[in-house]
Amino acid sequence: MSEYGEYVWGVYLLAGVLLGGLALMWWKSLRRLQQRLQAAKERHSA
Amino acid sequence: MNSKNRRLFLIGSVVVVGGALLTLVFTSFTGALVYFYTPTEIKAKSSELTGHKVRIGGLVQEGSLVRETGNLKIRFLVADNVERLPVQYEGMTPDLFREGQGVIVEGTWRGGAEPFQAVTILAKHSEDYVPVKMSEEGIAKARESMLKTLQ
Amino acid sequence: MKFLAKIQWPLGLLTVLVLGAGLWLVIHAPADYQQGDAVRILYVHVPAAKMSLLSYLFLTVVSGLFLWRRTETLDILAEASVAVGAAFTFITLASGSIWGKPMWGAWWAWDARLTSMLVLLILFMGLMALRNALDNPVKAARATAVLAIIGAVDLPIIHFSVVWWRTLHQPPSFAGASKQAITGDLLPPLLVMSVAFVLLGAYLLVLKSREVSARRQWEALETERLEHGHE
Repeated sequence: MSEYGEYVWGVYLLAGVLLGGLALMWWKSLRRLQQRLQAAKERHSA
Repeated sequence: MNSKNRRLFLIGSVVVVGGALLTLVFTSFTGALVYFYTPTEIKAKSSELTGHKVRIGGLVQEGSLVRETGNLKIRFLVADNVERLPVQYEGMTPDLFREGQGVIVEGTWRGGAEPFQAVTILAKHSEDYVPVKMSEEGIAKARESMLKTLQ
Repeated sequence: MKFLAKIQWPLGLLTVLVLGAGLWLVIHAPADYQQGDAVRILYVHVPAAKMSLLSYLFLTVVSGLFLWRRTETLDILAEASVAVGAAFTFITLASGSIWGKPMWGAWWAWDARLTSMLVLLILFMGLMALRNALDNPVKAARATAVLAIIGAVDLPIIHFSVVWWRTLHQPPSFAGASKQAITGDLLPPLLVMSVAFVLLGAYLLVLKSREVSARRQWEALETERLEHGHE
């Protein structure tokens, strides 16, 4: 990709970082919440 | 956020969203959303547009592009199906600016006695995408659809 | 939510596979006779734009259903689709801008297509702000549903802007079977990337919905604990 290489890479990098970053953020948040909910449930039944 | 800030934020967001929507819907009906005039239109409305900033769109007439040597001055004709309009411009041109391709020139309309002095040049791309290998027929097709949008 | 948890992994796997195939096709596609390699930007731009509109369409439907049935799941789907839609709309605007600079000669133009797409981003942001600004979750759900439905007038404006008004933005390249303006090897990467983006959007929606649902459960638990005091 000689011509416009930086523009093309810029777009794919931006899309990758944004969408990948969101997925990772939501996935981590979901896991943390599930762990907390699980812990609360165990505390409740104990 | 305390409750007073929240309320301000709430009112602010509703005003911004509502304003953006209303502006869009109302300008939709006024024709302010037409981005450029064709050479035919600008000649017809010449007197009322004199002194105004306008955009004129068309095809760069094949064989009309003249680049001066030693500077960035260019001259060319912007054409639609009927009319053609001489344009002058000084500066860098976008990569898609080529003879036979779509163009939109911006500047102040001075009545059309002299060549139109463009301040900005935008290249207009047609909706056709053609691989390098089969350009021959592609070029003809792209030109046809560009002329269609100019009607 | 249990159903969403079940389909998340298979959906993710499928997304990765199709996205991989799409990217392979993008790399091996020929350059365009006018745009050169910059045409590769459109393999992100066009699918992202389709997903922006699709996300808002989905949001409008679940908002309407929510106002009718008042099921919380519908509101969770609405909140998630706003987040997903905002991301795709931002990518659409940014990638279009990066394509526009070398091709048109301008990062931005206030033509009908670009302006109405910017309004879509403002709508998504406004919906997030509105939900955030209201303390009462029931009121927040209703208010955002109503605003989302009002905002749906932007969808036909975006879609038809390039047909109704003369714009800098090019008209659609697909118009039913009668017209097909993308030729030869440039077409497969666009089709596969479009499918990949639909899958990616679905995956993100599932993930975000589960996250929103878990957050609401946690918040409900917290309020309960504060009201009844600690054990």
